[in-house]
Order: sequence, then C-alpha cells, then structure tokens
Amino acid sequence: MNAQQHQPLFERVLAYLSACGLTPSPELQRQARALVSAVVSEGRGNDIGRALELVPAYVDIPASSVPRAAPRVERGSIGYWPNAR
Amino acid sequence: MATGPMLDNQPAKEEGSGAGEDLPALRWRPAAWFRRSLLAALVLGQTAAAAVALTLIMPLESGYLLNALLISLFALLHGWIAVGCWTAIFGFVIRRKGGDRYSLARRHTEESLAATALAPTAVVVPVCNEPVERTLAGLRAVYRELEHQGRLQHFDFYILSDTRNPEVWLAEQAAWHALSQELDAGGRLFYRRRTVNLNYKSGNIADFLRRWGRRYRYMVVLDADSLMGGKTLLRLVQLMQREPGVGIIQTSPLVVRSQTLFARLQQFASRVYSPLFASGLAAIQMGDAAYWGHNAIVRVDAFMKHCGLRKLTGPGLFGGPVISHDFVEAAYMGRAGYEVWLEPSLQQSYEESPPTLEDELIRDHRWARGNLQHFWLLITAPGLRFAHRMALVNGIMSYLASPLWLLFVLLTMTTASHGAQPETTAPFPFVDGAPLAIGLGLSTLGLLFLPRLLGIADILATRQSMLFGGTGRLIISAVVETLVSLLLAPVKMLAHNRSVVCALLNLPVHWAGQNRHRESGWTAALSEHRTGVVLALCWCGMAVWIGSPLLMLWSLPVILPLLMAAPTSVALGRQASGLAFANAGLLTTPESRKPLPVIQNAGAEIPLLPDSRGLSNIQQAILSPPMNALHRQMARIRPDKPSTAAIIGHCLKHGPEQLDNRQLNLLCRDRQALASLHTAAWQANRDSYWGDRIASLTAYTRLSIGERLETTDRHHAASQRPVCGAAASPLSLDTVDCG
Repeated sequence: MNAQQHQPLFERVLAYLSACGLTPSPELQRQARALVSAVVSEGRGNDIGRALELVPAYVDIPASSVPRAAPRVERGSIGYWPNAR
Repeated sequence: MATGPMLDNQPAKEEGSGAGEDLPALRWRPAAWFRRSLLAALVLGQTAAAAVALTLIMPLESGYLLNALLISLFALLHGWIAVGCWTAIFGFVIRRKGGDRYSLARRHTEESLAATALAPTAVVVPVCNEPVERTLAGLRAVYRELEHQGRLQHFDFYILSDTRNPEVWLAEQAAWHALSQELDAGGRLFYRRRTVNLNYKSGNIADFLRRWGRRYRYMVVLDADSLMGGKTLLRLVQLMQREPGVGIIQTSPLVVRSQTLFARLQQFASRVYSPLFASGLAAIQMGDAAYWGHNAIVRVDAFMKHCGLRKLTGPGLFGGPVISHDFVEAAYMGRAGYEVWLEPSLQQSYEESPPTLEDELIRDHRWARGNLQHFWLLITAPGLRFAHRMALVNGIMSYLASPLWLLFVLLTMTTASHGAQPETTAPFPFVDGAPLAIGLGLSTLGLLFLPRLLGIADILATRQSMLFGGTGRLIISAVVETLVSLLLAPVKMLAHNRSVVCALLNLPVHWAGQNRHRESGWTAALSEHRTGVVLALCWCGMAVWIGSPLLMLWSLPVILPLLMAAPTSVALGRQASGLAFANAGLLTTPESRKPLPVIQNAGAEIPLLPDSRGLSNIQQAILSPPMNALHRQMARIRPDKPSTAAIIGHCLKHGPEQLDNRQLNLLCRDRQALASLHTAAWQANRDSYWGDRIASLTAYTRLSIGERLETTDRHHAASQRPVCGAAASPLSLDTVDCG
C-alpha cells in the first residue's frame, strides 16, 4: 500500500476520532492505521465513508447516553375564567 | 365563579411526632383592612396638605389653568411617592417590632415545618436566548443545594426554552446534557424547547403545565438569573403544604453577583432599602400580594384551574397576549379564593441586576408595555380583589409617572421662569410664601429620601453595619447611590416616556434575550441617549433665545444629567469601575462580602460546554460526532421534503453561515437532516467548506496537545510547527508499515 497516497484518509480518520473526544495517542494512531489498512485492503481507496463505517470495529469510542429530555407527558388543561377547568 | 381551595390540598400530615404546635390561624383580613385604611389616610392626608400648600404659594401671574394643571399633577405624583415612602415606614416599624405576626412564616414553628412531608415539586426555569453556561451554572447551584439537603427526590428540574437562535439553543441542549451527566441527574433534569413561541413566558409556563403539570403539586419558578437556597426551597414547599388556602408564595429576592458599577449600585440599594419596602408591602398586601413571576412557589392545580390568560381583545396595545403576566396571575389566583403572600422573611432568594443602564432601559421598555396593558384588565376583568387592582394601578403608575413628571417639570420650569419677568420684583417668585415653600420642599425631599435614611437606620439598629463595610462606608455608599440615582432619574424619566409613547402607539417590542454580564460600550450608550442630549441642547438653546437665565438655572438638574448620560452610562457600565468601588470597600453587601455557597457555586466558572475547537455550535452539531448524536437524539423525525434537501445541499456547499435562522432551525431539529449533514460533511473534499473546517479541527487538536501528531496538513507546514520533546518523533503513515 502506498502510505503517501492514503495519508489524507489517515488524517481524516484521526480528525474524526479526535472530534469524538479521543486523545490522539500512539495507540489511537495505531488503531487508525489499522482501520485505513482495512479500507485500503477492501479496494475502496480513500473512501472516508467506508472508514467511518468501520470506526466502531477498530476503535472504542466512549458511548454517550443521552438521558430522556422530558418525562412521560400527563396532559392537563388550563382553565380560563369564568369557565375554570 | 370563585371556588375555594381544593379538598385534596388539605394540610399535610406531619412526618414524625413531637412537632411543635403552630399558632392558631389569625384572621388577617381585618388587620389588612386597618393597615390599608391607615396607609390611605396617611397618603391622602399628606398629599392634600401638600397640595393646599402649593396652591397658596403659586405665583398668580402663571394663570389659573396652568396652576390648576400643575397642582393636579403635583398631587398625583406626590401621592404616588407618598405611597412608596409610607410603605417603607410601615416596613421599618414592622422590622423594628421583630416581624409581622400575621405572616405565613410566623404561623408555624420551625419544628412543625421541618416535620412537614414534602410533595412533588417542579423547579422550572424559562429561558429565552440567555447566556447558556451562566444560566445552567445557577441551576446547578440550586440542584446542589437540594442535594445537600438530602431532599432531591421530591424535586424535578425543567429548563423551558423559548430560544429561537439555533446557535444558542444547540448550546442549551449540549449544556443540559453535560449538566445531566455531571450531576447524574438523568430522569430529574429535563429540557424542553418550544418550536412555537406563543404568549411569551406565560405561554412557556402554560405549555409546561399542559404537558407535565399534573405530575406536580407545586412549581417553583426561577428566572435565568435566579438563585435559591435549598432551605428556602424546602421552606416554601413546607409552607404550601401547611397552608392549603395559599396559591402563591413570593419571596423577596436580593440582587447578587454584580460586577459593573451600575449593577453594584442596584445590588447595594436592593440590600439596604428593599427589605423595608418588601416588609411594608407584605404588611399592607398580606394575603392579597402580587406575584413577581420568579423566585416564587405556585400551587399547580389552582394555577392551572384559574390562571389561564386569555388574549386581550382591546384595540392596539390592549389586544393580544398578556405580556406582564405575573400580576395578572396573582389577581386571578385571588379571584379564585386563594391567598397570595409575599414572604420577605424567607432568606436565600436571589436575582441579578441588569449590568448596564441600557440593559435596564431595554427591560423597562418591555415592562412598560406589559404594565400599561393592565389598563384593559382593570376595565374589563371582573371579580378582581381591590388590593390586586391597586397592584395593577401601581404597576401602571411605575411608567405613567414619567410622562406626568416630564409635564410637571416643564410646567414648573415655565412657572419659575416667570420670575424673570419685569413685573416680578423678587428674584425668587415664591418669596411671599417662602416658609411654606421651604416646608413643602422639605416634605417632598423627605418623601424621596426618608426610605433611604430608614434603610440605613434599620441596619444600624440591628448592628449589621460591619456586614456593609462599617458605618462610615455604609453611609458613603448610600450617598454615592443617592447621587447616582439623582443623576439617572431624568435619563430614566425620558426613556420611560419613550417607552410609554411606543407602547401607546403599539410599536412592537422584540425580545432577543437579556444581557446578563456584558459591559457598556460607547456606541450603545450614545445611541441610547442621543435623544436626551438633543432635547437638552434644544432646551438650553430656547432658554438662551428667550433670554431667561433663571429658566436655565431651574432646568440644570434635568439638563445636566441628560447631557452627561452617555459618559455616565459608560462609566457605570464598566466592571473596572465596579471593582474600584469594591476594592475601596464601598457598595459592599453581606452577600458580596461573604457569598453563601449557592452564590459561590453559581459563580464558579466550571465549564459545561465542551471545547468548541474553534467551531460554532451549528458546525459542531454537524461535524462533532458526540454533538451530532446528541442533537439527533433531541431532534424529531420529519418527513423528507425537497426543500429540506435543497437546504442541506446549500449547507454542505457553502456552510451554515449562508443560511438564515429559519433554515438552520429546520435543519437542526430534523434528525435525518443532521445525520445526512454529518456523514456528508466528513466525506467532503479537502478544498470544500467542510474540508476546511476539518483541517482546522486537526490543526486545533495538534496545537492543543502540543504537536504530538504528524500530518501533511496543507495549512500547517512541518517547518512551521513547534516540535518539542517526544513529540519530535513523527508518527505518520509515511513512517509506518500499513500493509
């Protein structure tokens, strides 16, 4: 594989992982390289879309659970004078 | 049809045995009648005496009509000021006597309240384009207070957003999520944003009540700048539990967290004088008090049943949604047979002051319109209690007093200028009635300044002056505050005049959020006060033209402040000037000197929002994977539309800056649109808009971690990057085996 040719994909993957909140450590870069290799080996060239699909398989991205923004609705109504609810 | 308190709102049973015995219920209405009658007698008597005195000393050459008009205006304004002064005197007496024995808090012992079971309570914070982290820092402090009290299980928290700017509401969502995680408050801290902003803040609260009101017995309403101690929150719920006939309990919030000189002056005035006014007001209004819209607890069922606000059906200003809703809701609560109490004895209730004069005037512009609307309700709303009608009148007069005052000043100056006429022998036109005039002047000054003196006397009597920096500093601070008040009075008067005129002409008011901490700038100050400067110069020119130095002399107290308004405003609106006074130990309050934990926690600048990495909130929502996931989760699933696809395409090609707020709102609340944008942006070419953003993201990361990453980023050549330590060894695809 031509490393120079796939440098843009590598950088984009690293940027993505960094945007995920991961610190770009050597270990992370190793995982990114493995990911790029996988994409390249599939014959997809610098397919960033494919790389992003494969990210969860190669890198542990911290899961961020979003709590419920609101509880279950218990609908009521507002009363207006003189016809209180 | 008035209905009494609901049966299900019987006093809560006490949790444990051995609770102290409460005082027997006092019949407060006769006491209220006596106090209000006494107030009326004092105000009317004093005003009548003053009006007679003025009649006796008016120069005859002014003419009957002018004199009659001037005396009528004087009586009206004098009466209104007298109400304020006598309220403060009532407050002073009540405080000196150790509190009002009729107040809610005095009816129940500490033990019985502590033993009262709590009930489900929602703490709601309506927001609209507020500074996100600052607002949520306050909410975090309140949450921590209840957590510290160990009574969190009875409370839920709601951020109710009316924010229209996507840049702000995306930040609200992100901050809510971060705060939920930080406090581990999932299932207790909620966020709701209305997409249709009907009926301003009252509509926002009504929207909450329609959805979730039935879950709660009480609702504590906090503004974006409100703070409340945990004990106060618990005490409010306990009092409501013990008093099923009470619909609203309003606390008397003190101003805190002031930085600019203007805000520090408000803070000082609030701390020194407000306790008197609040105690007096509470003693006079008793169970017919007003609701101020925040820092209060509301009985949800009664509120939902009786406090719906219909749109007004009058002409112009008197049509459409009710803007100043709080007084009206209190009046409706009273009409339904519930009591509304102001409880100044409840401590640890805080709010903030607008940081600059301009911000206060913007707020007043909105309030003026809202208060003047109450004219229509006074005429058309049936069944309101007299005390609540008086509260509405008082609110109207707060702004209507300004045009009346302006007219009075103009008439007075015109009358005074007659002294320059040749037929008047004495330089002072009222020389024949000099003793009466001096007495009248002193009496009026007394009305204006006696509350200030009583406020200081109250502090000295309770030996609390050390909390204000000592007696000397307290007095100097009060003098400074008084001088600045005199300086600002004509400026505010003119601004209120403009607000009243705009309201009567039904010119719309735009609400774009309130500045909570920014300083004054020259541009804003000059823009705000230019009318006053022009009017003052015109007045000077007229005085010179007609050759009346006396007119000029009489006009100086009004003209000088108007001419100096812009520099005064800028000086007052600076944090540095506020800090200078603070360093000198002036304008000190107990809360600024030694803030309580809730104030300290609210001020602790713990960031809630993640590092933006140089991206706007909208760019983050599209590009940042965690942000995109969060906002997608909060967004709705909407049907695919060609128009949405076109906007997505435009956003991908040119960036969100090229879209207007409506288009951005559409994208950011569409789950599929956010997903599409995220995927497409990350696949964008390096030379495209999003490629550029990603490149800058990479550069930002590299700079923030100190160059540990080697790339071939075209924006940062290797030779330009700082290389240090272990980071000097490059880790790039060029140097490793990818195969």
